[in-house]
Amino acid sequence: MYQKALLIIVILVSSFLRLYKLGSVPAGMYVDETVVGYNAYSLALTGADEYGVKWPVFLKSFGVYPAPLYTYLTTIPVRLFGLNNFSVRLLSALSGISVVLLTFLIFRELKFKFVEPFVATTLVGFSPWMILMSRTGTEGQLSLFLGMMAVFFALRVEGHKFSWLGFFIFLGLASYAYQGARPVALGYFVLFSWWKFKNIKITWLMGLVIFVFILLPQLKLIGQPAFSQRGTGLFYLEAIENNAQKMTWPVAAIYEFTSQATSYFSPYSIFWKGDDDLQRSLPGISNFSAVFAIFYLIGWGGVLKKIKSNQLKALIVLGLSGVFVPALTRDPFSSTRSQFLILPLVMIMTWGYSAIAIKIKNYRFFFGFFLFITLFSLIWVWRSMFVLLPYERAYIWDYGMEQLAREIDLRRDEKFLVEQKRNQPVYIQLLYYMKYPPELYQATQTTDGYYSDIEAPLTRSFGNIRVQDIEWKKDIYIDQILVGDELSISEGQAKEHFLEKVFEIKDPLGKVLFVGYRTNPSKKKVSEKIMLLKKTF
Amino acid sequence: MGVAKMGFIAAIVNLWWMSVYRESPIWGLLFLFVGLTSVWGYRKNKFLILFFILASLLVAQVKITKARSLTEIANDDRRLIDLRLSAYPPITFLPIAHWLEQKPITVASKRMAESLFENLDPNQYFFGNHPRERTGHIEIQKLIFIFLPFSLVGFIFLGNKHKGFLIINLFGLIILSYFGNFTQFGNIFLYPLLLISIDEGGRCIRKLC
Repeated sequence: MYQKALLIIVILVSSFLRLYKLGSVPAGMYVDETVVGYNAYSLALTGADEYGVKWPVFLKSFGVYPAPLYTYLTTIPVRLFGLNNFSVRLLSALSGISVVLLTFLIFRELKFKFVEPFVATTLVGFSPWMILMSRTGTEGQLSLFLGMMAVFFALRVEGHKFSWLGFFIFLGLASYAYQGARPVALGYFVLFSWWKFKNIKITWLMGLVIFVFILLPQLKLIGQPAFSQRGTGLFYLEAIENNAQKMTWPVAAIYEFTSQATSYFSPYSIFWKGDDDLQRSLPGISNFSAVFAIFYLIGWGGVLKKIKSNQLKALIVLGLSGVFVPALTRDPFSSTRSQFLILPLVMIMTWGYSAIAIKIKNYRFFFGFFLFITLFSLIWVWRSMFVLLPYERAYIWDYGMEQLAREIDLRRDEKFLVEQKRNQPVYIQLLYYMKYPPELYQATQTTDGYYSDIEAPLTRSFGNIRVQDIEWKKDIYIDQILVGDELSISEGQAKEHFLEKVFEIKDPLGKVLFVGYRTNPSKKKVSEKIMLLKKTF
Repeated sequence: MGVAKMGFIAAIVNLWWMSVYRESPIWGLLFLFVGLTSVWGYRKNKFLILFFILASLLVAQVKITKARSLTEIANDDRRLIDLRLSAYPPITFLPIAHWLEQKPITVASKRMAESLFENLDPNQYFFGNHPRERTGHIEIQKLIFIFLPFSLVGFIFLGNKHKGFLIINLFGLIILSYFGNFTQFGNIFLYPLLLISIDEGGRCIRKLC
């Protein structure tokens, strides 16, 4: 009974951590989120994406071809609540909450005893890594949820022959939720089939047929850049070639892969350093609170005791499938690509918890201690997530774009040129915040080479806005407002070209993000004439 | 045969003692000797010798580490702390911002934790900290990365067979975290443990095969 109550509390707290101030923390909307938001808006209103393609298999966006499922499903909150930050992030938050609940079910399915499933659920529910991903309006948590559903069904195939169908359906859906989930799905398919070989029945074959059927639209594009662009673009070929001079190509490749894979299991990465990417991490905290490292270190010792157990088999299957993708990409420790490692990591930590609890023999006391350090870790999560993140990382999350859209909206009769040297790509964010009518925007786009032409020009023009670099010889002679950051337009240039400052947008730290200057072509031309006259006489 | 003597092979074929040798041949050879003796001592259950080696390495590690203050706040730290203090909502009845950002014990524990976690990173020993090279540190590859699987298996077995030995090493690391990690040759204190884990791993794999 008390276990149920504790589980409900953990789910409620986890939900709070995922839903509280969802629209404003993180402050701003990262470009990947606005891509989702605007395309969902476009699909909801017109049934086509920003380019005018009806329900595409991959969204071209600005040439990165993300998987479409998250965007498709986001059309529902966008229709219900309108186009805003909350709508775009809601599906991710709900997926994150479901991931917490699924952790409990999977651990119970793996025969973890007593409070162990609860410990695992708490570790996932209060993990800064999972919370941040749940508050990001991108595909990460949805694909993890679908992948975990597949795992849940795979673990139930003994005695539930129709579970294979659930396994394959969710595996197929996961591959539409996140490009990085496709190799994971392949890993799950091969390794779970091998593990559960004795339980392979006709339903396995039926499931496989459904799986292939679900994948058909993707398989049709197998030769197109849209299918492979995301994966090949992130591979560390250059690093291998550099090392190959010292240690031959195969050894260099193994070296690179092993070093990357090891870093995903290193306590230093998991509990201290986290992701180096400022957008994918929280200030001052890693993927898990450092206090839980002791469980992880001790948990490795539990591997021997689990030999031949389903828990160890699950660890191997989930660990191998989960580490493969991140270890093949060049980022040292990508928290997004490594999300499928959450279960193996928590499994090891749970073993560690149990090992200590058994050693000290006072289960209640140790459980109380666990709750105490969990509460202690929550203080640090609160600090990083709700105090520091919206303050010191606002500029990373493209804070200021909303204000810029508002400034433009206030001056509908004027033309704007927005420079984007350091803020690429700006166009999608302006489309998002201005809720620019999709049918108008689609009319300016071409659908030719949608899946094959990966070059998506970032220079765009819509409404009263041009998004491109400032051409000083031309643009100061046009009546318009030039927008850029502090480096785009200096005070000296403003004075020289008679530019009048009309607005300035700052982040919470006081850092200038955007400045808007109105050109004065007539005054500039007069001054040039005077200069010419002075030179002549 | 080779797998069974993996610890000795790793003690001889490693880049760590060679790096020390390049700086000082005497210390380099002594380091090689320490490695071989550690593996031999472990195999023969001479834990007193191992304990002596660990104690000596701990002292040596402290001597070669450029110690840093745990509580001193440099200009860069001050700037970050001030910035973060201004992010907190105004809570007057509890100085939470002060506790979490600049209380000496908080600053000290963060620094100690950083040192500890750096030393627990297997990439530091097998890949010269690649792919997460640290700024301000000279990263050297210490052990050849092909020994990594043996070391991992060995650690798991050591965790079951000789918990005490692992705890002594962890305790040593906690002491060292007080001094920081600014050394030319990395964390030499863990050298015996790494070689022993490789040796144990090699023997376990041989038994399994």
